[in-house]
Amino acid sequence: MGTGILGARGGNSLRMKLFAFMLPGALAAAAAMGWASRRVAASVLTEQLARKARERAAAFSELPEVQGGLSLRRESAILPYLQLLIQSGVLYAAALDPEGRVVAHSDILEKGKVYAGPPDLIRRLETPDGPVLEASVPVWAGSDEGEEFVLGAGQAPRRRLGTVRVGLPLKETLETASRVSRQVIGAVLGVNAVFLALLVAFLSRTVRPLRALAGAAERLGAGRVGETVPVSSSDEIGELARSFNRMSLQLARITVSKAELDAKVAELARSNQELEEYAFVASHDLQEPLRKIGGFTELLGRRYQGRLDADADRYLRYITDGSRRMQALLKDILSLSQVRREPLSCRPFELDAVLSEVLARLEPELKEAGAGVVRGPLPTVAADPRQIALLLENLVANAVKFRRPEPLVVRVSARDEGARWVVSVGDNGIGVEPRHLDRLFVLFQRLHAKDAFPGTGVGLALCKKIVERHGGRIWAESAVGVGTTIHFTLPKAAPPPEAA
Amino acid sequence: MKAPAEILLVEDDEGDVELVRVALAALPGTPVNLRVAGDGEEALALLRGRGPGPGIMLLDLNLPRKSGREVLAEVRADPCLRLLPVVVLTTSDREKDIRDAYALGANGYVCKPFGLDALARTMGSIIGFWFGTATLPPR
Repeated sequence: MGTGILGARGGNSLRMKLFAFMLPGALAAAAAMGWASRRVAASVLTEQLARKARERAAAFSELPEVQGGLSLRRESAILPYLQLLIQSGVLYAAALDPEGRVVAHSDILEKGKVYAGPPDLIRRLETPDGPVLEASVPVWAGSDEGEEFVLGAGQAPRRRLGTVRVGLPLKETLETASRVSRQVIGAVLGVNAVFLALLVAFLSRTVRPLRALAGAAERLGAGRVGETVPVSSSDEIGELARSFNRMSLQLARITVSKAELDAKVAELARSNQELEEYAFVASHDLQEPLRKIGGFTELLGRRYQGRLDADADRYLRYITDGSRRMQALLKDILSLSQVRREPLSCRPFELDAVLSEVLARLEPELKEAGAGVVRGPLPTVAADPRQIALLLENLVANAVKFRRPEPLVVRVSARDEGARWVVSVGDNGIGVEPRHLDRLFVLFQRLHAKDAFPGTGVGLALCKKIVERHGGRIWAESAVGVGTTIHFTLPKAAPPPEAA
Repeated sequence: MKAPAEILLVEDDEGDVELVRVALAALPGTPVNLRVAGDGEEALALLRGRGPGPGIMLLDLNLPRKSGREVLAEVRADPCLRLLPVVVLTTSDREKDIRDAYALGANGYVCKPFGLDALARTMGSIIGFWFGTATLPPR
């Protein structure tokens, strides 16, 4: 994880956000403070200057020469004092008569000009020499106590002799103000920098546990459950860390990693495969000794029939029956095992043709049962023809097996249900009680005593397996004493690929 | 009296041999002279030995040491024995076994049936065909 000055990888880090957030504010504050401070400084300093100007002017107006009257005739008397003013830092000085005519001026060119306007005024001017603060002070006739004059009843109004005007340079003042402003800006920026640095440091400290959390969360996502982060504070981040730790531990408790599951699935598949092999081999290899048992028992029975006692005859019969039954059972189990193991080789074929083959194979039994077969039109299906043949054979054989005394009628039909075919094989046999219907397709479930009806209980389980391997469904409808119909579906599309 | 049908049965299991004998004995008509070889080596020795060979050979696939398949292959490879009709008589009904047997040149493949009567019928039909219906190859 790259941690440059800007923090997190994407660059979109908190640190950068902090800078982006605070910096404009800090700069704006500095600018505002600078501007404000300059104004204040300028204002204060100007005020000072103005006072100074007024003092000078007032001092001037007290001069006896000035008290003597302000007129052009008296210019020569007044001018030297004006010149004196210049030397004390004043830029220019002027004396005006009551009408505003310049009587004497430090700048000779101004003599004689008339300036209207109020006599008592502070104003700022722009001159070729720079900004200037000009103070105009009225010259009153009277002593220096005149400053304290309060116009009241009984006092005679004062007589104005004219105006003294003094101009002071503002440049230095303004520069001082600027300097002040700059210093303020610097101070503000400095304070902000320190403040920002503290914030960044705080942020780093805060972000560190968050980064640890992010790392742990990523690893959790990658499958490393149970990992915890250190809880280094008791604030909201600490709470988050604690919650994360609880979550991680909980996940560790309940999670089974995908690898474990895969391993278990593989193991189960292997175990299944082994069991299938075992069932196949067992049912196959068991036939051999069974044939012997059956064969020699039969031989014994024939050869010694009646020559041993009745019990022996009976015992031999039991043994023979037993071995025959076992042989039938093994054959069916083998059939079932083969149906499970063999890969499906599906192709389109005419169901009609397969049914005909099956009926031909079962002809002896059908003939014995006096059975009539009613066939509806059957479609072309895509499936494993051998397995479908086995399916139909089992269903028809069942119809033959579980028939009533009446002549057997077997009905085979199909109907189109859009995405699949529904094939039905029905009979008018003994039927099945509704409460037994759900046990019909269970392996080895037989509903009758083995003497009443032959059968190993494998047939319908076999049918179910075949139908399911093709992605279909099988079910039964029945009424006792009326008959049974077995329905099964065959999807029109190819069966889905199967797991092993 | 008809000449007996000469049959070589290659079968290692005594019980199975006995059953075949019993089944054959029950057949009416053609008498059968059954010779038995307990394994492939014995069978080939018998076939290559002196005296007239059998009319047909009934060959089990599950034999010790040399398998039935190997025996069949050898018989078909041997110019003297090549023409001998061989009927595989075995318990397996696996498609692979059937296919392999015919591919190696068996003349027929018979699954041993269950039950004495069925076995008798089977033997009857084999003998009936090879020693009745069909004409055996010249020696």
